[in-house]
Amino acid sequence: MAAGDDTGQRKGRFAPYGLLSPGIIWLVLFFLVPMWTLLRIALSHKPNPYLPNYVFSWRWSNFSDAVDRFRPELLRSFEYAAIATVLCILIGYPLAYYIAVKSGRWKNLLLGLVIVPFFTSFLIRTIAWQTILGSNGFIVTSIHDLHLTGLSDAIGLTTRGAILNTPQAVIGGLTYNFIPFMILPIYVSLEKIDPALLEAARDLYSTPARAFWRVVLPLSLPGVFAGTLLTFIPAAGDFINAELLGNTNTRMIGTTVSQLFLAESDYPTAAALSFIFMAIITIAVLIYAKVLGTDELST
Amino acid sequence: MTDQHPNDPQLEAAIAMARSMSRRRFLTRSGLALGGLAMGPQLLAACSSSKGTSTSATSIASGTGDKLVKISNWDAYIDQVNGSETAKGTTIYNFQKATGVQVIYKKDYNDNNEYFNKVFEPNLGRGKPIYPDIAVPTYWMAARLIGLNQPAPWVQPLPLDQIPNHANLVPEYTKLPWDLGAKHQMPWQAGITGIAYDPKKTGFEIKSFNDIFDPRLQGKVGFLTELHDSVGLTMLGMGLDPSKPDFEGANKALDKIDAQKKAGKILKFTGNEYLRSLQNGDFLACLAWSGDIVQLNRDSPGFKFVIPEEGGMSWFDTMIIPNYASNVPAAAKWINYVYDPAHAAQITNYVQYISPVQGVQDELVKLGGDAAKLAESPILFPSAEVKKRLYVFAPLPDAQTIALQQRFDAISG
Repeated sequence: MAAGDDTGQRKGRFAPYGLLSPGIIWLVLFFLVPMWTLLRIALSHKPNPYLPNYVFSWRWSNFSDAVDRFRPELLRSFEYAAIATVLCILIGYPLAYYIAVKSGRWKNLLLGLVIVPFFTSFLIRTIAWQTILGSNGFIVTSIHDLHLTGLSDAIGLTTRGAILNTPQAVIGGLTYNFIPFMILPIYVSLEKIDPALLEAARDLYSTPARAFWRVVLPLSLPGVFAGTLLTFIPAAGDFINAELLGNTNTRMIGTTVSQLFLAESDYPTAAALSFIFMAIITIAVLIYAKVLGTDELST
Repeated sequence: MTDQHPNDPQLEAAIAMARSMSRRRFLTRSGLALGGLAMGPQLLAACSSSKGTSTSATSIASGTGDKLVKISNWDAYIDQVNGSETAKGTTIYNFQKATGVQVIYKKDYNDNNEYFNKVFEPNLGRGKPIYPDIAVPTYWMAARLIGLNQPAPWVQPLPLDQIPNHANLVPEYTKLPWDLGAKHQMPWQAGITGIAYDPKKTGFEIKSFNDIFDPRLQGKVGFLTELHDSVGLTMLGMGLDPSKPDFEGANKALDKIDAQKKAGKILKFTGNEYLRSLQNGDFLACLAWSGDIVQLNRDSPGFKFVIPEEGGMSWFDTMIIPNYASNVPAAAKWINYVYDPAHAAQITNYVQYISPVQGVQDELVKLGGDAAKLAESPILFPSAEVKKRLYVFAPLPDAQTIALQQRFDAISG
């Protein structure tokens, strides 16, 4: 009896690891190994610029050099990503709220519409914006025809009458491309809220605004938290929008890294820059999680 | 892991788009070509060697295949019929018929630095073959490749005994100090970098390079991501000579470009996508490649291509056979075929760049019609007087080239 129990327990002890193994193997192969390689490259140097030989030399100066060279790009990436994330919340939250609470039988259709843009490549959609926002596009020509160029310049919509190739276009592109990642988690968290809670609030003489503020908003914060991470992190590392919609003064860190890899073949600096970027993102996320509280994510 | 390089499909797609398919693309090929590109995960799967161990191969290894030739060229750099490079009547079709050699023609040479860092360096630098039997780098890249010989020479000498049409090469190309006698490369097409603009939109004639910094063009000017073109023209505008090695001068030109960029004069640095910006009005004037503007005017006439009075930059893209290429005899047949003036004229008639083959002008006249008009084009057949105003960017020592490229990349974004 006792021996049989032991075997059962032992089996039980190993089962979770067995179940985890696909994930662990995946993580090791496609995360830890590349990370390790990347770290080695970040600490290497290339004796001959035209030969593919990297010599591991504990070259920590790659990191400080990368920061010195690309400080503006780093700061700009986080600035643009932060603005885009805030815009995503401002636009996405009301929309998610409407879909989750008010849309009734249109709910599935509206959710479908949020996802529809994913059917086309991210790249194609961004290229489409080049046409829409270009100097011959209808937006710019309309502003021009209505003689509103001065006004739109003043409110920051345009720069000298143009939208394409401005920071506004880059931030707009980031917002556009990542907003579904904000809407969907917020929608899920709003959807889960039991309507009985709102009825209870009403029974207790709460105004709708107060009920929203005290009940709905706190319960939807995990969605906002998840949405923020899903938006901010890829937006900060994005290189398509800055490349296609921006100008020479709007370069972000993703473009810089790709250029270092492909145009300059400077893998050590590119790898170091990637690590710096990851470190900043990790710290920012930890602080954010601390402030907002990750335990709510599990609810 | 050792032979991998960054190979993220999204990254490649973005780069391809950023260069808008290629340096020498035509407008008719819009971004639609990218429709098939699936978006990969956004992780930058950077994985590369940190070891440089290589085999002890030290010599040329050339294959003897003569049934197949694989070519990597810039996009839209050869004649097409109904949008196909291999349709009946095209150069490739005719070549296959005439010689029985099958051609695999890839338009994957998008950017010199990119191709170097993705294809040449990781393979030839480790003594491994690359896919194409013929690649078409720009002259300065060809010079670099020909100079590299670790672990073995990267480029093999052309089998000139199998290329009798080598005699048709315009003699200037046999006097290049880095490849005297054109023994390692034979040019594919050449061109001029100058300024393109629409006089009706700018409201004034651009004559000097420095007109591009005119306040009326504020924020509507495009530069090229090709260092040799942007820096070379700026140097000429400053009265410096880019055809003499001048690191100081190049840096002064970069100072100027940087200042103009910071002042918001220059909107963007682009590859071939400048054509779209020019067409949709985002650029009023920009640095441009000669053949593109001839093409552009087919679709939307009115654009002018000028060689600034201080001078223009001239360049060429050239065919090389990389080491370890498996089909050298077939490659020789191809090179020989396109160096026949009649065949070269067919390509010139379509791509409208400067042909390095003697006798093309006469062949164009024979073709008659629009082709005969091309024979009189000062851009395709620059007069001796114009040629005097054209400069080739002088090669600099590696360390200086890299320093310039880094600085230029930092500026050009």
